Amino acid sequence: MSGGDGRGGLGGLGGMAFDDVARGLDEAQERVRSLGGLLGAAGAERFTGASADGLVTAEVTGAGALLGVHVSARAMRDLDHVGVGRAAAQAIGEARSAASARLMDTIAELTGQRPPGPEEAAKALADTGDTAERFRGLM
Amino acid sequence: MNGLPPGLRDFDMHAFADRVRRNVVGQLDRRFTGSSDEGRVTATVTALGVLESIDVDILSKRRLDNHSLGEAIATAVRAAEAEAEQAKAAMMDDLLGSLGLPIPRFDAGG
Repeated sequence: MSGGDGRGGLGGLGGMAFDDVARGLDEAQERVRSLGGLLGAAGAERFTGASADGLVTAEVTGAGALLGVHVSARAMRDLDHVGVGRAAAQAIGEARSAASARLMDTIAELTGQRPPGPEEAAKALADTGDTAERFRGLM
Repeated sequence: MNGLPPGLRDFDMHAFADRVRRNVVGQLDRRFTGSSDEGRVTATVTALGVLESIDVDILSKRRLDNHSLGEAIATAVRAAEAEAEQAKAAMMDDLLGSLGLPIPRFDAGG
């Protein structure tokens, strides 16, 4: 240690004062803590989605876990069995899209960067050859 | 080198790449299903856990009331997702196990 300001020698890192490094670490830890807190809060929220006709709705957690599906009495009257299945899948997809959008917003808010959506991710994967094609088919 | 996990001491990159190809890329086309109401309501998800379809048999639609049908659908979807999740975990166990690495567990919650 060069004493006093903690600058140079073993007390510094690449010209940074020891205090600066310590402060940087504290800030990083704080960011990780707040990120964890916000992501946890987003995960605990509930999101609903509905089929295009609004006859079936679904509820999911912020992490996308399915909490329930509600088939309305009108759906039982107006849709056939195939239609009910399709409407339920649509409602679950919508609920999960809402949860995913919320999560993306939270991450963007915290990091200043928006994570890539499925389309962007698929585009990035396109460079990796046929594996990307198979991924796209699953999105 | 002695501090490395067993699998990494004699690490064979080509063998590992083959394992990844076989166990990861080879699994992407798989589909997982879950069912309820004695198999009359089924859900299908992709290897990545994306819900692909829900099939409701005409008998389920006739016999169940709207609340029970909603529950049956949710049960089938959760079962299919659990299957996909289990397969994914087994795949990770195999890959990490081949490296002699500890297997982390993540709880998605919910």
